[in-house]
Amino acid sequence: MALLDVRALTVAFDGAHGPVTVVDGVSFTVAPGESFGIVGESGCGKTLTALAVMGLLPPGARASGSVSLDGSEILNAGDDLLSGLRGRRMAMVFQEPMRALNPVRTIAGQVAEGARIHLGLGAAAARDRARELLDHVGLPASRFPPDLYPHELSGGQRQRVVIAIALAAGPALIIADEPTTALDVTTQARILDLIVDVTDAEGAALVLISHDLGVIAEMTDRMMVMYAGMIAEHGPTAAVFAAMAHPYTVGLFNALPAMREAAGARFRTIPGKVPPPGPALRIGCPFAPRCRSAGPRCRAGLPPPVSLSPGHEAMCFFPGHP
Amino acid sequence: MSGPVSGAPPALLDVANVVRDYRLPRRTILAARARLRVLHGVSLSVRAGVSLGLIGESGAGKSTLARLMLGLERPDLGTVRFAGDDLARLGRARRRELRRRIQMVFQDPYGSLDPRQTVGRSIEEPLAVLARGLGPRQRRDRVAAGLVAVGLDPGAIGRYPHAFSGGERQRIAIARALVTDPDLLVADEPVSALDVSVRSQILNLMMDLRDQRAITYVLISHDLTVIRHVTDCVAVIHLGRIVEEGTTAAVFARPLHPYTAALIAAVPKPDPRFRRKPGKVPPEPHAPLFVRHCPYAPRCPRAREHCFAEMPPLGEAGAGRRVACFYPLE
Repeated sequence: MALLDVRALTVAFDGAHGPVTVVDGVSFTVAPGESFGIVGESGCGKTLTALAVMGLLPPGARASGSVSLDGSEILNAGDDLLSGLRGRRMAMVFQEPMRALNPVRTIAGQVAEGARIHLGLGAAAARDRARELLDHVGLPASRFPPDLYPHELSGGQRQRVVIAIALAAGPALIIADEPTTALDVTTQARILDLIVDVTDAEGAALVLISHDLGVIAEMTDRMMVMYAGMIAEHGPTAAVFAAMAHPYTVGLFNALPAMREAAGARFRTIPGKVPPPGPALRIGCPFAPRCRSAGPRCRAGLPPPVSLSPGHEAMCFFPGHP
Repeated sequence: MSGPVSGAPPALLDVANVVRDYRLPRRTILAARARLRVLHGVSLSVRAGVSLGLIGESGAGKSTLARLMLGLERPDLGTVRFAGDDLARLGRARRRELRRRIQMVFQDPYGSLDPRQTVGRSIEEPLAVLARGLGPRQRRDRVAAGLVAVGLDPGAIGRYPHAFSGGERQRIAIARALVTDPDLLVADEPVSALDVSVRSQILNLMMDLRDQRAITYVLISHDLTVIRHVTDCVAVIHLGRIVEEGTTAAVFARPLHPYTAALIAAVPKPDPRFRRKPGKVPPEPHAPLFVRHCPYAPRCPRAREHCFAEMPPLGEAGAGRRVACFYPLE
């Protein structure tokens, strides 16, 4: 059974001219221990999908569909159920560690808090657990005293603390939203290695959100590409990279200035920009205005999922024709 | 050294033996303020038409070096010269002239434009201060031409920054930097905050402008693929010291310093065959502040006894290349 089962998730806000849909009928599952990637640009609905799973949607958001974790429905669930699951069964790692940490509390205190609340440990046991976790994420007490404050750490070190907090209660699912976007390349590599290592050691599943196809390729078993709140393409990561079918996926890939290309060559672009979230009723493929291979069909109706290989689908009338 | 060789034209920008210390906050009320050395005697020069990339991890001193190049900070030791003039010893008139010729673009397109000023006023502002000879009409024409040059509609003049996307704001910031017709543009992470597809558009724009206007870039980016595409030369900075220098093509094709090789290898590859495997968690690196040996040695897979005993000098390593390593890669 899937650990996480998201079905027809839709998230909308009230706009001046009616509801504005930002996540539109998204379905996916994540198996225990699996690593699942969500890729797309800002405004495509990645983060709101994650927040819906965590039960952290901002006030004013209206969600429909179904999100179940371990078989229990958590979409629009009450705070009691959610606070029992958050931290214990699922935990989140955010993009900006400084905003996720409390600036006036020590790092060990913040890690210990999770262990105290979720595992019911006493103060001394929680302190020991915090020390162990900080050591596990590469912040040994010999060099990183437990009474350090977040501002005394670098960005990468802070992200390690956030990961230690996420691990505190041994969750089954870790959601990491752009966990390395603010970091430089070597720090990014170390944090990604750390995430692989701790999820593997704990047997936790990972939902990794990134705009970087390189990070998705190196980290995930399965993936989905989102555009304008909808799934554009999804499948096993190896299958998607072997045969990218949706023109948006291909565009994202081509826009990466790859190391293999000639230096000084022009960067390939996707013309236009991500549309702002629009009214609920949409006609045609949301990517059609930016798509080189769009035809009249694409503007008339929503493309159905086309199966390309086992588990690999693209929502496109002309898959594989960028 | 990198000072101007007699006979050759002076470098556009020449950084010579620059040391920069930051004073740290007191740990207690009576304690002396400790100093943190962020640049340990950095020398490099930027020649007109040869764009330079600066790479290295956060905290290496890249942005400090950029601020020194812009004259926004003064070195504690050493000099920064622009077209032969010491930036620390300029009169007011020369300083104003210099501000016209060196411009900058920063990472955050949301923070670098005044939200209460129209786009037109923001772009015009440097002209009002730096090109006083121009009348209002000429200034307006320059602003409109600047917007067109960066691919925006001149109608944007009367609108406010909030009406624009991140990519468009970065275009506005570039228009503002270019309106004084500078020779040198220092860009600190200009595309890091932008989405993938928009990033390519801005980088293409920067390459076009360089070719059309003979602008030289100093580009700082932690995205090595960007540096590789856009710059001609590259300097690799590690903990306040240049450890490798050379043409971008040569350094990326064949890095000599193990640190450069590690930086290049760390770039995520969009290919699932390079799947990350669980292993030992690599610890946070030590950042030794004052050491007598190679500061990279504690992290270096090639380090030998010698590397922990002595500081490797930045020495010549073939045509146009320098490396600070006792055991460079072949």
